[in-house]
Amino acid sequence: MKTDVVVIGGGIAGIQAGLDLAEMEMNVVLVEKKPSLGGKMSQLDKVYPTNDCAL
Amino acid sequence: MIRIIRVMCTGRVDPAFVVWALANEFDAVLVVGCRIGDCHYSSGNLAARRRMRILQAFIKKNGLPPERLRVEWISSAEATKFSKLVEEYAGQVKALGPMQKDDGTRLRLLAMKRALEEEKVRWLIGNEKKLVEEGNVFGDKLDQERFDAAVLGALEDEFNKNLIAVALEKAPASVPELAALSGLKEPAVGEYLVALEQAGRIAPVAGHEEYARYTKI
Amino acid sequence: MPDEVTQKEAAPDPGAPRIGVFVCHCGANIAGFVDIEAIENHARALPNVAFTQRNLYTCSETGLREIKTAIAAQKLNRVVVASCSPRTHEPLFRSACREAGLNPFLFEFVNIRDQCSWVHMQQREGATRKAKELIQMGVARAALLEPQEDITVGVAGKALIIGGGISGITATMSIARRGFQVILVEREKELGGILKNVHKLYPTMGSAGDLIGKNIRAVQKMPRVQVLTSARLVEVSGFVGNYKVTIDSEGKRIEDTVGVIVVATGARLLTPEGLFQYNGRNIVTQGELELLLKQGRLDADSIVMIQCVGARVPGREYCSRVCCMTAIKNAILIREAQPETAVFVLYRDIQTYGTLYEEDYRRARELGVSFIRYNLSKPPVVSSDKVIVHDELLGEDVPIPFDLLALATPLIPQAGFDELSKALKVPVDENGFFLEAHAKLRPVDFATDGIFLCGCARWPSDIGESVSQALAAAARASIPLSQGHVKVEPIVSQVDQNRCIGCGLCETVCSYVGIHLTDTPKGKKAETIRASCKGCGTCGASCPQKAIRMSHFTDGQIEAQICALVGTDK
Repeated sequence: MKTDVVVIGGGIAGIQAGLDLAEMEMNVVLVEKKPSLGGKMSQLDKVYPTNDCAL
Repeated sequence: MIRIIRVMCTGRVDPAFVVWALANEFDAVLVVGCRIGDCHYSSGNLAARRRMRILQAFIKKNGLPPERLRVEWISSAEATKFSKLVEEYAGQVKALGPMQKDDGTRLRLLAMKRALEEEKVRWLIGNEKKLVEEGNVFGDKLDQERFDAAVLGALEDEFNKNLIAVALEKAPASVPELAALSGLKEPAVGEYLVALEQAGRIAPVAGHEEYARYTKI
Repeated sequence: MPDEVTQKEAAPDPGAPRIGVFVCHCGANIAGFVDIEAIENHARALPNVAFTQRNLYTCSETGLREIKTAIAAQKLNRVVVASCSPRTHEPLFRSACREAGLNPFLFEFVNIRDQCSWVHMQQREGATRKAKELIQMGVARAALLEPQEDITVGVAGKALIIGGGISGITATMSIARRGFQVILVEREKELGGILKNVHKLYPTMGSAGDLIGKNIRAVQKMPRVQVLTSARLVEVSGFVGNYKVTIDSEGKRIEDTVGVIVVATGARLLTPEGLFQYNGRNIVTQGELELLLKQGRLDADSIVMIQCVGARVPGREYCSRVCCMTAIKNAILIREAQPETAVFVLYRDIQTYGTLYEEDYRRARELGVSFIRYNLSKPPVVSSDKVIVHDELLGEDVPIPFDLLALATPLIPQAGFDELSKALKVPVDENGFFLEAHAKLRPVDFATDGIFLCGCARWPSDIGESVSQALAAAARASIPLSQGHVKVEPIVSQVDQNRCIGCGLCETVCSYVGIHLTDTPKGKKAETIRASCKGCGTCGASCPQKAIRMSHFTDGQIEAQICALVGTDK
């Protein structure tokens, strides 16, 4: 697969960028240092102001 | 206790659903859609508003408090307004007390539902805007009062017919029994029986009693 | 009328229902307020339920894997998830079903978080019962669900941007650079918006005029961009990929079809009529002070600025966000140019988040700007040449003479926001700002597919934020444009032509050309136009013959949901 874009960081910003690029028909490689994606947000319970579960 | 049923638009809410809920142990029905003029689906809520107005009149005519149906228009951004409404309406419904759950009431509610599913009634309800506001091809318009009388008349007629049909689905019955059950005069019961028989929905039961009994087909 | 690109064969019948019910703990979010075990046990006993499972977070990778595994292992052909809101999570669970080989429309969502654990937080028993019953209703509906196939329609490769300020111009150029056509509609005679009247920009202290001038020239020269000034959107219909728009530009009507729309209508400054003796001469708005600075006409030895004028007050509760930095920036510029001029900033709270803004705040204090905190319960009292402010920290009234008093008024919704909101059928919040689909996860999307927003139309934001949002909105809008086609939800009407008598009522009540009468060998019959049907169900609820079935919201499904509880004591 030819890679169009490399996204560095698999937190909410990196994931969203990766998703949007992929939807624009780009081949994306998302690189994350940790063993799992999610970054800070996956450690949160709820996010203001909607009180949605951060997961 | 409130149970929410999601539909895409209030335009989807068939008046029959409302009556079906009342027949199934709900004490009241709240129909909530986008603000008038802001319908997410352009004009579905206008169609719903016309239908629900007629339905409310029909409910009232059948001796139920019209408050058992309430229709409100609230935008998805008005959470506080929605929660206030729900609390207020819940209080109002509590004051009305529970729906009667006896067989007679259920029979009548089922007949109401069937009436709302009848072609003639649905044609009239669906054409309210055309008949009252726009007029037919000759530009003739019906005034609101006459329209309402026509729809409610048709509803009553279909209700009576379906009350007999629903009763016969439970058990075969004779004309005097049906008259007692429906509160109609015997000749009227006879007419509805003929109509139902012609529609192939009922048939007389062979027997030697004083009055012929009818049953569903 | 948009063309349907492909129309697949109807999916095979999934067979007798084997329903899997997945109950989400949502950490403690649900499980902390209801008896989740009792709920699962209740679900297990319901008709057609073949499998139940509780997940700590059903939406987590583990939870989704559990669903997929159960679909395969238990041969599930319907899935019910009892967790949160379809608004945020329905697509996720639907795609989990799809990945496991189950048609996504055989999935049913029950919301026991918003409707149970949240609203009945203090009533554990009642909330538990309600959750059980909602699942019971969901299961009854699920048993009757039918598979649906996606409908794909083409996308017009053109965008409409409404509003020619910095946000609109930025979004326009970004989309045009990707190779798509763009129509930029500006209500006024010239592009530029609010920036035309701004002097310098924090934190760079660059000229606002230069920035917007450069952008206006660039967008006007840009290929593929059509700029319409003195123009407004008159009418819009259609849906993502196929919005039919009518624009009035200098009296001329222009009709076009665009794939996406971006709302960048900006905001305007409140005029503080009746507040703090505002007179437009020596008592002006912060915006008018900008103009004085821009035109080099500022002549004052003592300048007082009052913050939060008509903002963060009952009736207009929000913070306008840009006023603190605007005041600080102007105070810095004044003190740097004329160190002998005294500048006082009367504030309630200072919002200078981040690194650069906080640095400017520090710099303003270094330059000798006096910041005095007042409380809303004792606001400053203004006479013709003097302000008396009750200093919260000193606990004393402090008189300050002034030559010029600048009132920082908030950005308020643009005039005409109401009509635009109606025309596009997108919501505004209680203040009149346009409301995004999700404050955190979809900040520049509207809930309506194919319509986006950015800049001050959404809420007060400064240039940097507006530009970020405009670039984000442009990127989001480019997704359907670059795909060239979009999937439309297959929630549409289906006509049983044997029952249909061709009365045409469905066509009359439809707002979308989603159904029409057509000639068939059996006479005139109704027919759904799947690509334009929006699935509202108005025709179905009207049809005299009950010949119209609304897919995914059939009479049978809704009635089953309604009567699912009979015999249960409500």
